[in-house]
Amino acid sequence: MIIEIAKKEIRDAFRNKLFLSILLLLLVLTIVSIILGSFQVKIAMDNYNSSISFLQSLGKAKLPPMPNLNPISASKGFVNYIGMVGALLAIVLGNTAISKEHKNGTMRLILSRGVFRDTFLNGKLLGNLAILAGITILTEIITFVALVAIGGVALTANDVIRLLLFFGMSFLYMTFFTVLSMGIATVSTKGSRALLITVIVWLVLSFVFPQIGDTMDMDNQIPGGFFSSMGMSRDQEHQVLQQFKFYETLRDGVEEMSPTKHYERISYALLNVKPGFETNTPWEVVGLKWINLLGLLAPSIAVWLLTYIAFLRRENIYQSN
Amino acid sequence: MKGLKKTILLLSVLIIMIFLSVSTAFAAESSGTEFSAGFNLSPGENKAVSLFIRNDDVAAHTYSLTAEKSSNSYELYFSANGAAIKKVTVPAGTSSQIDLNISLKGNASANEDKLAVKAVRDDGKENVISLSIVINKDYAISIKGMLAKIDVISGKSAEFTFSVTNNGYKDLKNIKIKPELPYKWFAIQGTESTVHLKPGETGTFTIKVDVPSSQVAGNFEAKFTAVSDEISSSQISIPVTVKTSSNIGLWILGILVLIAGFTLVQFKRNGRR
Repeated sequence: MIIEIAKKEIRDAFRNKLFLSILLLLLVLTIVSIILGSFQVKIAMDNYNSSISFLQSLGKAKLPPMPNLNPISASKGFVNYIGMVGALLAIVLGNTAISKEHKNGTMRLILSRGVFRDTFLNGKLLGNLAILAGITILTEIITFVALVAIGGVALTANDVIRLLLFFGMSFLYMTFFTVLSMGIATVSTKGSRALLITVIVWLVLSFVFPQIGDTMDMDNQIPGGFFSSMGMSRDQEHQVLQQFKFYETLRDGVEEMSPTKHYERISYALLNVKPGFETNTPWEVVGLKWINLLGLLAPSIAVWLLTYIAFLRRENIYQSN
Repeated sequence: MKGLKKTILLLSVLIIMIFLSVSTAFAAESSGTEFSAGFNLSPGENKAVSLFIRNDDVAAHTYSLTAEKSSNSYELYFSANGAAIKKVTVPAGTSSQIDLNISLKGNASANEDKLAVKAVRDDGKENVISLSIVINKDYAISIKGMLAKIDVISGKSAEFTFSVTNNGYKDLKNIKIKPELPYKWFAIQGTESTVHLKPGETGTFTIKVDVPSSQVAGNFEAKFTAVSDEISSSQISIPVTVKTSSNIGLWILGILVLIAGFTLVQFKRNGRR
């Protein structure tokens, strides 16, 4: 039964105009960003090759080593697009999955035919996860093809694993918002209200919390740094920060509550956008950034379990809206 | 006759003055000319040597600056008005001052060295100044980290131990360690302790560094220099890997188990519906 519900969910999604519009927007943005990134890699490669040819024509034997072009960083823009458009897409998917059944009265019909509530939810989730996985795989293929065909670079095994892991994180990130959206739609009696609440929660988690982390940092209060502007030594800076330990913990805690921040941190480390992870293997990066992986996984599991409880205890399902 | 003598004397003074003044100046018009000047450099010392580029042409020119052909290895860069540069544009008929910032990298293999500083004009004319460098070994200090790499949990302290050796011929006084740490990392112990070292002696230092709990996991570099009243060592970098405390993970897992338990209770109480 779960598979049947999932299959219907996939069919329905491709009839949803709002979902298709956002999907199209995401794909266009991804393609443009990957192609531009690949061209940048190609230009860097061409520059290096032409300088090598020039030095060889001068008879130089000692040639400079190839600079680290980091071709996988071409996906850098994708992190931002998934952070915004991908999350919106996931929210629309999750909300529609529940609210359409409410609106059409089909939820009552399905549940009255011996389908357990948890089976119903699991089928819905499975269908939506399959759609998100399909989108992730599609963008993955586009990225690989663009990097090789346009960028003209041969990716190493580590690059390929890093990219695959990065797309895995993108999938987990979108999964969270689908689960959240489904959860809120399950609790709320009105689909439009649920959508609005989910979007507000997304805005808070993705924009307000990370901003609190950045802008409330004491040293970010003045351009050029608060401590250096005040002419403070490192010792004085330490003393001041010691006085604000609770404030700092609170600020960091708020920032850690943002799945977007966790997604950004692990993605930038995997794509080598953030310096310091070049010498690590992809699995070492995941090992170092396990908290970010947990920060993507744990909220989804928690929200999903709470959705079970809310749906199980709900008594007004058979009442008409 | 007297007038002729006076003229010869004046000319001689002028020639001597010109000879002395060109020691640290490029004559940009004379292609391939070599001039020489010299300076002393102690290991660990950062020296700025002023050089002048004169453009006697009627048009402004850009000069590309390089330094090469030395026996020792140096860390060096050119700067003008405090900003690092690789090229300098000199207006017609004027001179520009540039500084060659130089410090010895590692141990000196030659005590007397030469460095060719080349200024290549945009039309290909090349001017070279050969700088003689005398390595002053009266004061020499080296620093070495006891551990090549350090792992630390965010919110905890890391201990760095160093051996500092006086490689010079004279005593070094008030040696201490000067750290250069990532943002919000603070040395909480060991930066105030000082030692005196006689030539050939080695001392050890331990510095305790606080890594803030807000530090996200990753690879960082902590840099340290041994500084005495007389000289400072070259800077060493120690890679530091910051890991996240497993306590946070345990807390999150605990909360998840709690929610899962609560869900099971609900299923048991209400049954599958």
